[in-house]
Order: sequence, then structure tokens, then C-alpha cells
Amino acid sequence: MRSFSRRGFLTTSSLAVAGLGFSRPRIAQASSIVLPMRSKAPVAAFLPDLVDPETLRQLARTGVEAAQHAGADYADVRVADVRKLRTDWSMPQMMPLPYSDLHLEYGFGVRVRVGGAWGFAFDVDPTPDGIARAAQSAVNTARGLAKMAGPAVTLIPAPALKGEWSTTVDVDPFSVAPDTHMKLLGACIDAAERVRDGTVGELVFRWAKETRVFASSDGALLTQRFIRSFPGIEVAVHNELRRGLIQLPVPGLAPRCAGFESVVGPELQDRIKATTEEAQQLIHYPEGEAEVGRYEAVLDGDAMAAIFGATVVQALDFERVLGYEANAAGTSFLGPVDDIIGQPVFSPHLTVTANRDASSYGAARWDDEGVATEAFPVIEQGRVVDYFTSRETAPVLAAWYAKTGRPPRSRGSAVAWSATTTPSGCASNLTVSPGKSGTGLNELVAQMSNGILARGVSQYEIGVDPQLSGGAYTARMMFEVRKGQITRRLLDGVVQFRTKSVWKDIIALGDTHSMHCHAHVDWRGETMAKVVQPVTAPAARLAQLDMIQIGRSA
Amino acid sequence: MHHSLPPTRRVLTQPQLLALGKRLLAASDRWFSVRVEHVAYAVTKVANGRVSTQDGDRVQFFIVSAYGSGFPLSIDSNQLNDVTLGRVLEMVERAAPPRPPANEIEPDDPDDDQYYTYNAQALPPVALWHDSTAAAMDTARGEVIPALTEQIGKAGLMGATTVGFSARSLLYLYKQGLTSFSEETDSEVTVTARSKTGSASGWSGAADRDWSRVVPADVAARAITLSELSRNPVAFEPGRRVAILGPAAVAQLVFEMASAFEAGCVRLGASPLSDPRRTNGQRTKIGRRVFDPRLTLLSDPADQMGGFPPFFDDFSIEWKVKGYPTPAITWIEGGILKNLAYKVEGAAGLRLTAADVPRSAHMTTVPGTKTATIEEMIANCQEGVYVNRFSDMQLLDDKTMMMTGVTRDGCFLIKNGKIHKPIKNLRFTDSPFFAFNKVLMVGKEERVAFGAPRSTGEYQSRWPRLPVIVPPMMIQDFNFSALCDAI
Repeated sequence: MRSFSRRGFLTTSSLAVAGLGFSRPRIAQASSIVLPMRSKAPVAAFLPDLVDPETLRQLARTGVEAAQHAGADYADVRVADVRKLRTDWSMPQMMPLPYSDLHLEYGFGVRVRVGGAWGFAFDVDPTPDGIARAAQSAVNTARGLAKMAGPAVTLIPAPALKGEWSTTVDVDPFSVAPDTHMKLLGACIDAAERVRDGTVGELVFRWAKETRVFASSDGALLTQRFIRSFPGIEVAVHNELRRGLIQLPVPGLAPRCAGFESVVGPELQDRIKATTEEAQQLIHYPEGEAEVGRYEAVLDGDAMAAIFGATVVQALDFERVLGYEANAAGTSFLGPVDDIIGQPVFSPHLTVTANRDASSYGAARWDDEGVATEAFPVIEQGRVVDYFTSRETAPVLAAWYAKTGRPPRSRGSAVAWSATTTPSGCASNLTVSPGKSGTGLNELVAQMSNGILARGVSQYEIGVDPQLSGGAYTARMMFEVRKGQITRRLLDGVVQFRTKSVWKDIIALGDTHSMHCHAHVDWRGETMAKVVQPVTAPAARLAQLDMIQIGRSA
Repeated sequence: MHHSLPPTRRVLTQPQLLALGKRLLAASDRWFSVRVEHVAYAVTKVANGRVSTQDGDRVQFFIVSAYGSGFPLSIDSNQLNDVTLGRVLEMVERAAPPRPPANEIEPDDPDDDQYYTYNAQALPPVALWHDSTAAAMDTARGEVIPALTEQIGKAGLMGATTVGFSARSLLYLYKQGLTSFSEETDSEVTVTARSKTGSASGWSGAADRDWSRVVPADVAARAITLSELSRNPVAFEPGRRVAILGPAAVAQLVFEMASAFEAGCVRLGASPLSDPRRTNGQRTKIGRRVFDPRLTLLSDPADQMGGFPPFFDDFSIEWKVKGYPTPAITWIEGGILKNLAYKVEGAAGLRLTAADVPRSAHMTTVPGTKTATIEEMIANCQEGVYVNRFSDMQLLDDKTMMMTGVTRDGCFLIKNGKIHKPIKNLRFTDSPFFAFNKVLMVGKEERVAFGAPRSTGEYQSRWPRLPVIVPPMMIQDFNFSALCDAI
């Protein structure tokens, strides 16, 4: 039986794994390996050397040339070398040891247009021959599909750009030893356990380091390097006497482009302790069954971001609006375009901006079609003013862009979260503008005379219809509020909503201190491709919330 | 992918996988088991004249070490030439974990041979592979897609179609000898036909492991009919109604309730199949009626209408002895609960049969049951709601299996034995453990196509699918809890 205690683990001297004859594997495929936890060698030592960007560029050029040679009138290629690290010590009472693994993915995707139809092929372990074969295969597919496709695919013109760009971090997480990563986990648990009955529920740090090259037959050649952080910490307070459990996410841990420096230091530990103390207070509220009815409501920033991400953000995906996902993910209530764009669909409190700046999770200088990214509004004071488009779909909005004096182009929102998937227009980082300063969560709650406070919603507890026009959700915690005071915690409540009504009936938004980032993870297309969409939103006070009861015995 | 395969094969054969597996296992004495999977898929999506494809080949090697760490080595590749295999072998050799000190080996270190030598009972013979499907992977879409596009266009509708094929071969190989292999093909056609104004939508689908049994034109015809019938829907008051659920709707309920059969959850009281009062001296409802007495629910790897690999695999309840055989199980017979899903060790301790939860399930009727067609159900309905399918399912409560979802692509008010008018979609909040006890009429079962209805999302969007075979049903007092604006 292993004799690790968490503290024992932290103080045990490390094994020098290299001393046991372990040397870096020469892998070139997508692979995962377990990271030895007790090592002072940097994480990077357990992976092959980074692929030289010039090699990636050469491969991308080879793919484009092969596609053109095979007959494509347009081709683009994405080649990426991706390393991912995950360290996890969730529920330490049940998991005596932390877990970590490394994942390497080195692959490419070739997209071609032949006779007005798309073809796509991908592969792992790129070689010049492999990428050339894939290009030929994509052209063959497109040629066949051109006979059955409808109107030819046309792309809005975009300049063929060349350049390199990197996110900037102070400490590359892959230059840090596994020992140090594990110490971080232990310190987080320590911080939560300083509070009586406190511990952690979820405790996971995910890191990704990627070099991606884009090349196109237009002449674009772009190299970008990203280091991304996707942490997740939820503290838990378990009251043995009352058999209750409260889990709260630690605020300020947004997924973003950041290095290891973003999670070390006392500030994170202080936030963990403060959140645990808050959970400790919340668990002592009396409990009662949620009662069916209509109430005023306040959503905290996490709940607001989660529900907004599951509804409006998906609805702004232009491929959904155009019906391309009708037989897959679904359609959108934000269509037809002419009925929606420029119209006051939502509350005038609502202004939402898409932004891929250098610190955001979706940070990029150029998107996955080689278009320069830019911050742009999607909703301005309740009016939809743009969608998430690609070079293929942006032309549909040409008349609107002309009318409003906006340049007719996609805004750099074409995303392929993996080089082995096709790019499509979708959100990669959104911010809902906050309300007036001094209106935090507590101030919004104090304004309610008879209402519900919803704290935190997991994306997996939201069900939305295929047009995103309505749905139901359960919050992690719901509280009854009477005369501005929390009176009790509510159980078994489910909220039903109509999307337009929710976001039209916003009474007030919280200030910057109430902001919270929720990373919406979605799947789209057929076969499903994973997309990650962080949404940062403030707390919100709503005019109404419809509660139903699900408790029922057979 | 570069390897020698016969023309009707798209994935590695059993001898090829076995040879690969043995080489990998032999690469180090510290490796314990290997899983090698080869999946090929060809999925074509058409929407509003825009065609896109996602074709792929993936070989995954998954190797587990013997020393209680439980942490595996996983390698994905699209290449199977000698160079790539050489790299894989090299990595397998180098990444084998060192032997830990004796006092750090966990007591449940898998040296217990009784599970890993379990080859005495042959795997149940299954026939999941069809050459017709493998052969169609590259060619069928060139004929099917234009035909469906033309058919839907002639009806004056906008179509969104997915035609998908997949083939998979899978091997588990343990040092002690347990060896499990399966090969399967699958195909699916789904069509959503929408009016040009977007105000009406009909959906249909067909799935079969044997592509020669799929008739795409019938799928499109049904979707078109439903779309045409769905024009100008009106709002209908939610509430408890008689519901006639098409097979696709029933399948959504059945698929979502699979986890309720996991024995651990049942014993903890976290399932509708739990009995905390221990009425029969046990914490489960085994032996008690849980469904309508006409209903039987089973999972059979050799099911002629679907079937599945006859052993525990990824995403099953068993994490330790994957590859362990799972025979046919009858979960509910004549409404009586007969079995629960046990992991291998748990089953051995209780002298029961290990099996995964009924993610691939076949709901049928007991012999002698009078079944009815959907048309007969409609004719016998004074007032009710016909539901083509559900979408965006969400489980609300484990103990009761209360779930919610919305109707989609065909929802009609039935009055006086006829389809009276199309109605706007409705949200339901109910549990299959209530619904399947209020069955008025039941039909003949068929395998259902899932398409991509979300929430089942990742799991049921994998290729090949896990077949779900269910009948249509007429159910009393089904709870439609709210109107839904979605079309």
C-alpha cells in the first residue's frame, strides 16, 4: 500500500527519472503519457523537442502546393504542434494521490475548394508525403462533392498576410518541474483546509502550448505560438451534522493565455480561503423545498456567464443562423438575419464584445483563415450588430456592413480548435459589459423584496432547445431572498426560461467586481468537434424567473 | 492510412490487430494489457446546398501497466506503416513505468488471474460486420446525396442531411491471456426538412449496421411529410396529456435512463430501482414490477437488429477489466426487474453476471402482446399529442430519473382519432420510470437513428453508434411542462 500523505508527498525527495534510464521518447503522433510526479526535471524533458517552426511552415507550404497541383482553386492548411499538461487532485479525501498527464498532438488539416465545393482531410504525424497525400484526398473528395453541391463556395477577400506572433508569459508551465506543479496542488488544498470543514471539490490545472502555422494558396503564411491556462478550482464545505455539501468555484480563474506565474503566490491561496469561508457561511442557511412560482431573480456572474454562453453565444454562431447545423447542433433564434440585425432584441443594458486580445483564452493575432483578429461588438445596447462569421459566411452580411459603415469582412472569428478540424465562425472570448460601479452582487440582492438568488450554474445543468429559444437549468445553489436578505437555501428547484425574455428583462447588471468567467465547452458539426468559449459576465438582476418543482415520488 | 487491407475492409483484421497487440505487449515486461482500436468513418453533411465531409482514420493504442498506478499510455495515429509502428514500439518500450518498491504496490494490483485468464467461455458470437457498409463508405454518398437533395428540393423545402458510415475493429489483449476482439460497421442517414421560411420542420432517420437495409428515399419522404404537416403550428396548453411517442422519442428516454441500472448506484439509493425500505430484504427492486407488464428490456450483443461488441469497453462501468465478456442480459421482463449492471469484481463476489448498463438497449413486448401501429394509436386517441422525437435531454434527478427535453421536428395535436393540427413544440418534464408504467398502447420495435440531438451529445455522437431499438408508445398523463418557441 502506498504510504503517501499529501504532506508526505510534498516533502519526499524527488526521483531523478532520467537516472532510471528514462529518456525522451521520439514520438510524432498524438499521444498521452503519465507524468512522473516526483521529478525535478522540467515537464518539457518528458516530451520530444518542440518542432522547429520552419519545419511546420515547410509542411504547410507543401500541403498548399500539393493541393494546387491536384487541382484546387483554393487551399489552406493548418499544422500544429500541441503539448498539453493536466494536473489534477480533485476530491483529495477520495483520491490519495494527485494525477497528471501529458498529451502531445502533432497534426494538420488541409481544406480545399474545387469546383465550388469544399473538401477536407486531416492526419496526425505530418510528413511531406503524408500532407501531400491528404491534399490529394481532399481534392478528390471536393471534386466528387462539386457535382452535388449547391451554390459555389465564395470567400470574402482578405489580404494574404505573413508574420509571426506569440502570447507572452513570464513562466512557461512546461519549464516547471512536476514536483513544483504538485506542490501547487498541495498548497491549494492546504488553503481550503485552513477553514473548518473545508476542502476542495475540483482542483485541476490545464496547460497547453501550441505552435500553429497557417498557409493558404492566396499566399498567407502565419506562425503563432500560444500558451494557454485553463484552471478549475472549486472549494467544498461538507457539514457532517447536516449532511450538506456546498461547492463554490474560486473566482478570478478565467481560462486565458497565461503562464505559471498566474497561479503561484499568496493571492490565489487567499482567494481559495476566502471562497471556502464564504461556502462555510452559506452551508448554515436553513434548507427548504423550492416552491413553484414566478420570482424576481439575481444571477451571480458565474450563472449569468454560463446561461449566456449556452444561449446567446451559441445563437450568434452564423452557421447555425444560416441553417448549416440544422441536422446537427441546431438552428438559432437570432435569425432570419433581416429580422434580427439592428433590432432591439435584448435589454438596453446588454452590450457584448468579442475580443481575442493577448490575454484572452482565444488570443490570436490571426484567425484560422488567416484573417487579422479584432475586437468587435456583437450586441450594442440590446441590438444584435454582428455575428460570428467566416470568410465564407460574412458576405451574407454585406448589406448590413455597408449600411452601418463597417468594413465588409469576417472579424477574425473563424476558429479551428484543433488543426485537424475545419474552421468555422464561432466565439472564442466574449465580455458582457458590467453595470455601474458600486453595484455588486450583494447590492443587487438587497434590491429584491421577494426573489431568488442563483449562485453558479454548471453548463451541464442547462438544457436548451435546438433553436436556443428556451430551456431549463438547475443552479448549484439557489437561495430565497426576502426584503433583501437571504433567508434559506432552496432544494430541488428547476428554472424554466425563454431566452429572449430573460435577456430582455434585465433590470440591472453588476459592476466589475461581480464579473466571472465561465468557459462554455460545446460540440458542433458532424463528427463533433470541441470548441471552448469563455464568457465573462457580471451579476444580473432579472425581472422574473419561473421556478418549477421536480421532486416527485413514484 | 497505409497498410494492406482487402478491398472490402477499411480497418485492420483480427490477425493484424493480434499481431500488433502481441508486439506491443512484448515490448516490456512491465506492460500488462493493450487495447488497439482502428476506426474509420466517412460522414457527409449537406445543408442548404453546402456539402462538407469529415472522413478519418484513427488507430489508438492504449497500454496499461501492471504496477497499480493505473495510469495508461495512450497513442493515437493515422499512420500504420512500418516507420510509425517502429516509433510506437519504441515509445512503448521507453515509457514503461519502473517497478515501485514492494511496500508501494497497492493491494488490488491486478495479479489476480481469475479475471484476466477468463477465456474459457468463448465470447458470444456476434455479426456486427457487413461488407455492404464497408464497401459503401467511399461510394454511396455520391449517389445518395444528390438524390436526397433533389427529392427535398422538389418538395419546395430546405434540407439538411447527414450520411454517415463507420467501421471499427477492436482488440483487448492481456498478458494472462484474456483476449477479446470485435469488428463492426454502422451506417446512418438523417434528414431535416424545413420550410423556406423556417417555420416548419420534419425529421427522420434510419440506422443499420448493414447499409443495404437502409432506404434513404424513405427517410427523406418521411421528413418531408412531417415538415409539410407542421406548417402553421399553433400553441397548445401544456399539461399532462396522452402522448403518442414515436420510436425516436422513446429511444431518447431509454438511452438517458441507462445509468439507473448501475448496481452501485442502486445500492446507494441513487436510482429509481433502489428500495431503501428493503421490502424484499434487499436494497433493490429486483423481483418487483417497475414497468408496464407488457414491456421487456434487454441488451444482447448478438441482437439481429443492432448488437454491440460483447465485452466491456471504454465508457462502460468497468474500468479495470475492460475486454471482459458481457453476455446478453434481460434487465426487465414483463415489467419485472430481473438484473442490474455489475462490474466484474462485484459480479464475481455475488455470483452474478457482469454487464454494462443498457446503453445499447432493446425494448420489446412479451410474447402474445397485441401491438399497434402509430396510425392505430392515433385512431384510438380521443385527444393527445404525437411526438416525433425529443432533443436536448437533461437528467434532473438521479433518484427518480426525472428528465427534461423538448419535442422537435414534428409535434401534432391528435383529436378524435386523427391528426388535428400541428402544434408548437413543448418541453416535457417526466421520468421514463413513470411513463413506462402508464402505457396505453405499444408498437413494434425498430432501431432508431440518433443523429446529433445534443445532451446525448458526445457519447451517442461517436461512430459507430450504440444501437437502441424501441417501439412507439401511447402513454397516459405525460407531463408537458411548458411551451417551447423553437421550431
